[in-house]
Amino acid sequence: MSETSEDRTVQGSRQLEGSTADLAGLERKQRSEFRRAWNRFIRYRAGLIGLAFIGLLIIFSIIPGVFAPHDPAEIFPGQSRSGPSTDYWLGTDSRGRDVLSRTIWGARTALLVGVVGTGIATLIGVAVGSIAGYFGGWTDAILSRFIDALMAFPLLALLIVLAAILGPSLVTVTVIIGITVWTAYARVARADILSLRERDYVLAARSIGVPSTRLIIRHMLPNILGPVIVLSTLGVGSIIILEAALSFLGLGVQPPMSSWGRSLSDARPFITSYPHMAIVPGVMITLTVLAFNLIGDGLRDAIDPRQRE
Amino acid sequence: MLTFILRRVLQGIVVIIIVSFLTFGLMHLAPGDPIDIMVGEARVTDEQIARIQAQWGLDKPFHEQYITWVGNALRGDFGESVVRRGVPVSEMVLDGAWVTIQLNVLAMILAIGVALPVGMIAAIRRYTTFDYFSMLGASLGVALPNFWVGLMLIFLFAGYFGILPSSGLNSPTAYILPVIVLAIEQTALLARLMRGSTIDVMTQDFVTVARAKGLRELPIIFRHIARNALLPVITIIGYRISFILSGTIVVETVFAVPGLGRQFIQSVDRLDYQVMQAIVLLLSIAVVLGNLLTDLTYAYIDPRIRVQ
Repeated sequence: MSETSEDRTVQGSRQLEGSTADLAGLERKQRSEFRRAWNRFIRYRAGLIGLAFIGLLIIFSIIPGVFAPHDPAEIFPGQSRSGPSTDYWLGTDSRGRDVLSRTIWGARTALLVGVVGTGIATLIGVAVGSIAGYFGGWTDAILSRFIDALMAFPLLALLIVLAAILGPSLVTVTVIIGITVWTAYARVARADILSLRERDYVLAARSIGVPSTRLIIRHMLPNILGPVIVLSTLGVGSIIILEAALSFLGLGVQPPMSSWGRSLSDARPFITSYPHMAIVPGVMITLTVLAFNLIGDGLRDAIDPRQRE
Repeated sequence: MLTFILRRVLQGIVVIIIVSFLTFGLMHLAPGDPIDIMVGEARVTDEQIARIQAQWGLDKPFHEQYITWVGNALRGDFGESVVRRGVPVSEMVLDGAWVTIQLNVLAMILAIGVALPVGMIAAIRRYTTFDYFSMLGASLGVALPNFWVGLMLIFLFAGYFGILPSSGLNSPTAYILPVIVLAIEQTALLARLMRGSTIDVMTQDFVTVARAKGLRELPIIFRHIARNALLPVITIIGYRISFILSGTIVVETVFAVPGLGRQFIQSVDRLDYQVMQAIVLLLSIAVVLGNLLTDLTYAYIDPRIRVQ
């Protein structure tokens, strides 16, 4: 306490005082708010089911070897396209690999691309959106037209071109998805920062000379975090579908790596006679996307009630 | 209103210019020289290559090439396919575009026809079994990957029952599966949206007034609720074009339908950049025009928008 009052008189360390006071205030508030949000979230049962499912997938993707009965890339001679059996619970694919093992390992690809892709998109989107919203004027006009232009590309067409140019791989897929889907985050961040800019506390901070970067990061971003988190959670599902679609078209994850989309593409030529190769990977994509969407819906009700449908 | 239209049209033009620049620039980053692809394995001297470069203007700087390309594109000339030699890109693309438009318009009609009534009934009969199951279906519809649904339907109707063709568009029945698959995501989204917007309208004062006046339920629903609830849904349909076109690329590939989407994938596989950039540009212009038309329609229907 004495430290704070001392600092208040010393002009030079105003910054220090500001940051520690902020930190203390922020931390206390965040904890209680987090608990309240959690309490609201667990009331939505579908969201909890989604969370449990994703929890299971996370375990699968950290230690797939423990659950997968076989090596996902191992080719069992003379076993191609065989139906479910005691050795191969979900049968084997067109090359004679175990479908169950490949599906379990595929969870890793889906989650990795989904989460990292969303992370990249959120970072770029929030940065661009905040800059456009905070500075306004020409900066905003130029950035907004660029966002419009990016949104005008049918997303998948753009991703296909980029994947073809850069050469498809796990890293390429994750990065190109991240650098193309950020526009939605930018729009939300821009609109929210724009309205925050008019608040008294922002004006106060500006009048005492807080630099723009610090003002945006420390004082404005925490206030738009709620809608951004909701949007990110809802975005993971669509990114997982994009990864699966790219892999299905042969422009995503490359063999021998497993991906649910890739499994579907392998199954495609034999679909009328051997549907068993395609059923489970497709069900997994659907359930994963559904789970992320349910968590997102629950989070929206819990942290950002004004967005409720 | 006039300034609003002018401003939106200008913004649209700016966006199309940026899009064309990005598309052209992207193709320039691509590996593989167009001349390499054209020449293939044939032995050619450096002089011959230089001659071809000069003939096609490939020796000129980037911005000159861009301006030539845009100038030609404006006259509907997208060059010739490097792979299918002698075939004008515009001709190839027009054939494909017609197929794609047919499929997607049919899918959209199906989606609207199912989603609007379902969404409205779910809102009016809120918290009933119908509401519960239709919204469960909508959540599922958004999560289902369209290519997987396509594969499963091919297995069921072409493989197991053997009543529908699995690919191509050679008979009227061949349209059924692709159209259904294209419609699923839109149906799910529109039904959700229609439900939400109907609920919003239902709680507004003028509906209470209509009830208080003693109007019967059906006239209230059709004359007062439906007309107002449709507004936000109409806008979304226009803004969905970008996603609809993304969907068509995959679905056309699954069903081997000779539309723009499949042509696009084929041109990517063959590194046929002329076709690729023409299709990307056309798709993007379609999106910009769709959004522009939506904005203008919305401003026309709802005067509140014009004021902003």
